[in-house]
Amino acid sequence: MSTTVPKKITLRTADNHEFEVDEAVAMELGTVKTFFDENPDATDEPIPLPNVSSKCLSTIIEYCKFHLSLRARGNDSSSAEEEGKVYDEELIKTHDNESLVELILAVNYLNIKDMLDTLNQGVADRIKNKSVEYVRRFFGIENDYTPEEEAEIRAQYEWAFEGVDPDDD
Amino acid sequence: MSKVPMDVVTDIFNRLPVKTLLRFRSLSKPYCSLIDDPDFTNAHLDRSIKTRSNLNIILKGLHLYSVEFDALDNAVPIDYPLSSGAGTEAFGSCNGILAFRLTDKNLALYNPSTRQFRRLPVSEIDPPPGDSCKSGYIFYGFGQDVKTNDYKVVRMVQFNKSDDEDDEGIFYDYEVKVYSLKNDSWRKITKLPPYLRFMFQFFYHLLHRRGYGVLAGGVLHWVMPPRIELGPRNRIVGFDLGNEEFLELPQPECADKNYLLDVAALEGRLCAVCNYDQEKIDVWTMKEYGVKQSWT
Repeated sequence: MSTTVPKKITLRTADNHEFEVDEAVAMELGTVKTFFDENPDATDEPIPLPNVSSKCLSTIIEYCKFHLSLRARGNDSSSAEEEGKVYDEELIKTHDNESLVELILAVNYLNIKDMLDTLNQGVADRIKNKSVEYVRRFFGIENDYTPEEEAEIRAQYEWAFEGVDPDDD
Repeated sequence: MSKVPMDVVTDIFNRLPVKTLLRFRSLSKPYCSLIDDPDFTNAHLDRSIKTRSNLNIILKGLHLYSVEFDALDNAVPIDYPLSSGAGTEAFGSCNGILAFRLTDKNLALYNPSTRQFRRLPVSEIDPPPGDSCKSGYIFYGFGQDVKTNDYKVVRMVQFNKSDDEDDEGIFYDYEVKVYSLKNDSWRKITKLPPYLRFMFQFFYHLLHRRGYGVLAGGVLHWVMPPRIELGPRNRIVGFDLGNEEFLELPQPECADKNYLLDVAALEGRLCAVCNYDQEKIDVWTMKEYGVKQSWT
């Protein structure tokens, strides 16, 4: 095997798009890394990612590339940290609730810890001051309380329902 | 059930403030069980401590106030049952739970995040039999027994002989009781060390409010006032909340012994504050609990 040219790995998404990425980028995806760790002599066949759409995968690859380049800069860590923060904030901002959840599911499936951390924090910040109804829609939660039960559970901490932002979704 | 896996939801909810979590108990039954699960609440507390989020400073004026650490200019009065009567003392805090003394017999625990308030059962102060005694100064302490995850309140009552006003307080008797939140009951501690009799000194404790125990490493600490005429100088007395026994702690090795000692806790470590006649102050921290050589 030649090591002078960076090895490329091909990933195939659920909607049958193929992405060719550097090995270093592919190794950021925990699921892909585990696959290669367990199959050291895997061929160059594209790796199927049946739970990931091409839209999500391109966002994820961009994210991994950007953060790899930040880490490569190493020493001037404070400015790199700052840039990373701005990038992450922008990433959250440009996703509406539905696409954010879809992205989280993909990142969780691909097991990218740092990115999941960032996205989960983004969700926490977004739902922190929201109503119960908003968050049910956000996660697709089915309300299994009877109206009486729900009234009772709300009454236990009535003050926690004060100062909630109006729903904007 | 939602399409988002529960471990992802758990991770997101771990990052939310307590008020939000209390509201989200009404999302659905599985979400309510998640939020009420002790494993979740412990993980949430660990994360809050590690990331220093959800921090508040409690201020005492005529009333008690809480200030969010990230917005220091906005003090909110703490609203707890019975708060109308001024003069509540917060004698301890641990993991966000405050210990209140409303009157000598009326103690309470309060969690400002959930606004849960619990009054402790009244435990009578029993003077030693025989002598005509009245109860004097009362030491309090509050902390967590890390091994059993129980919260405990310690009350040490010192007795004065009612006919002996000038007594230097050397032969005072003490009654020590410990309240356990898990058992919701008080227990009398009978194994008291002899040096406990030297604990109280009038000006030392009344002027400086040194009666509230300082928590570090699962042990509450009090400083014993110096008694030059008797030899024992500044001593640090500890009460282990785990085995409920007293212990004496080694002190930092200082060249000049002429200081007033105070104890404090910094990031969970015991600190000794040595005040040299108001001129100079040394702060020592004990890196390894109970090890004399680790004072730095």
